Amino acid sequence: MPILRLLLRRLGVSVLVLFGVSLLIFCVARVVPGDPARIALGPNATQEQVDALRAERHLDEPIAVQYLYFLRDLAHGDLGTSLYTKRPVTTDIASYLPATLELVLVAGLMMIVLGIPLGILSARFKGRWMDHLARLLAVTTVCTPAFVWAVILQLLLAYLWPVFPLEGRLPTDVAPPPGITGFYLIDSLLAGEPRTFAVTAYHLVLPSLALALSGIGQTARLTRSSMIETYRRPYIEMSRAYGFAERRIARRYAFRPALIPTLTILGLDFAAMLANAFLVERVFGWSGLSRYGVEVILRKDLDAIVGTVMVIAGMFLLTNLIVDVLVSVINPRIRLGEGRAKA
Amino acid sequence: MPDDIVLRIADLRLGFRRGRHIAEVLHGISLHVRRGEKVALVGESGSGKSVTARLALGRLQQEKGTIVSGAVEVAGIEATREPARIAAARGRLVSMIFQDPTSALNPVFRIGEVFEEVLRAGGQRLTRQAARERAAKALAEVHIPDPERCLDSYPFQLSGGMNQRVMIAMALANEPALLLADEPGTALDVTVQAQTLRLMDEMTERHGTAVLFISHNLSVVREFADRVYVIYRGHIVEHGRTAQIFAEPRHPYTRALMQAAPKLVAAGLPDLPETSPAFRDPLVVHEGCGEPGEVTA
Repeated sequence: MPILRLLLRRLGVSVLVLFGVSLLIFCVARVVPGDPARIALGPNATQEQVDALRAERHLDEPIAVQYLYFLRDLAHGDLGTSLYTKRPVTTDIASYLPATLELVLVAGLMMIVLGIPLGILSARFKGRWMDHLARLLAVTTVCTPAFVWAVILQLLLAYLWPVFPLEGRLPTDVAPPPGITGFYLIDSLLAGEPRTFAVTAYHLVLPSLALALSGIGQTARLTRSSMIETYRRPYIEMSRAYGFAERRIARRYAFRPALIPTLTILGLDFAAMLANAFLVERVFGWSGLSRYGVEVILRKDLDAIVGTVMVIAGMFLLTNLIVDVLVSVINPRIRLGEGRAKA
Repeated sequence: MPDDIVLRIADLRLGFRRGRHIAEVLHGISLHVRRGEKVALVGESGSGKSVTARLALGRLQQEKGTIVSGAVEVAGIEATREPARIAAARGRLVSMIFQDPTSALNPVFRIGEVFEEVLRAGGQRLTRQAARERAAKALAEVHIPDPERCLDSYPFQLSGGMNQRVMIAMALANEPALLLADEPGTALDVTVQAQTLRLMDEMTERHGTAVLFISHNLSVVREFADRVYVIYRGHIVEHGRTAQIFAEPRHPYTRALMQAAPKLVAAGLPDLPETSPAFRDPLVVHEGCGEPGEVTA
């Protein structure tokens, strides 16, 4: 089963990559000047207090030894304790990650649902007004960063013409659904609270759109160029010579081969949103992992930095893995192996 | 007009507009193919053979910058002036075989999936199961040993010759009146090409399909065609029955083309002029071969 083999191989590589990432971020975080213990305790703490904290966290030992401590804790599923929140890093991540994931997943869905059809239409009506409009939209969205969209959308649709909420995941008078997954959309459905679900979705619209817009443009552009390239292939000429309906060609016979290059980039874009979400989270007062990541970096909260980076790296790898599997499902050459004997 | 004519091209002109410049590719060609007849259109690359086929499918007319005048009628449908009707006829009344079968088959779909679409585009209302059976039968007819397995394969898993057979089976699956064959098998090796032509011959004979066979190779045409048109730079220069043309090529260009065919015994290729004023000589029509509706000499 080639897909299974691909999965296993990629999982093995992923573990190695994660290991490398941990080593790198572990060292970088410690090499950067500034004493984390002093930052955590503030300027008024005595030197004894600072030294005590340093000793408690093994910060007075060589980096190599510190890393061994880290690996020992990691083996027990422990990513250390935040110097700032005083809670285990895993607890912090578990409480912030779902908010970001929910945001990014909805944004990713928008990228696919809006970007791909836009690209298909653009390619099918190449050179006509539809194409020009779609390309203008795509270029505008691609070259405007997400935080600018966040501010613009917030200003227009939440302030000047307040159809959407200004910020947050839920209004203050709505209690969060019982935390099972941490995804409000899922939890509210599990708890049978359709109203909470609707309010959550309503709060998600602006931030996820802001995050997705440049991805939508990117996806539309990629889909367009890939489709146009595919339309020149002899098998599309064949489809037309045999009277396949133009819509069937656009949706199936040109779309599927054209999707292969698009999908790979889409995966990268998607994973990048995880890390790029922090400005959008900031603008919309979204207590997510990206924002948490930036805060702990500024505070030089060592364990939290390493933990957050590793979780984001893990998400990156997971996304790439999913994309690879999808590509191999679409592309029989990969699925079946190029060199297989001819029938 | 006699209605046993499946393809009638009359004074067809084609130009491509690039900015203000217009490049004329076809300078008023006329040809016809009768029901069940096999007609060859022979000429060198760039002579306008393939565009003629694309015009007959009504595909080129829709593209930007093409200027078409004259008549192209496929089974009574005017391909330039009736785009909707010719679109509906594609795959049903007229179909096409391509140069390189492997690149003409969609690489990410199984043969069976594409075949089903071909049958559906041909207007056949079939269940998935029935379509598969029809496809398997069609593949068996072109001597594919294990049709079921072939239907489950992707084109890259099959040999070029096998793909060509698949292509022929697809082309004839909806019993079209006219088959356009654009240098079929040129991308394949010579023995496979010969097999392909024999198969095409056998199949079109059996189904009574008319063929417009487009080739640059006169010797290939000799085996296959009833009549031959020789085209040179957008002009038809000679027209006659295959036997007539081979027995007595009258146009200087036809003679040059015949000398260019590689022979097993003669040493090397003769020095052929790239072009010659004599190639511009007027059309030569052999006895009894005029265009329909025309006063034959």
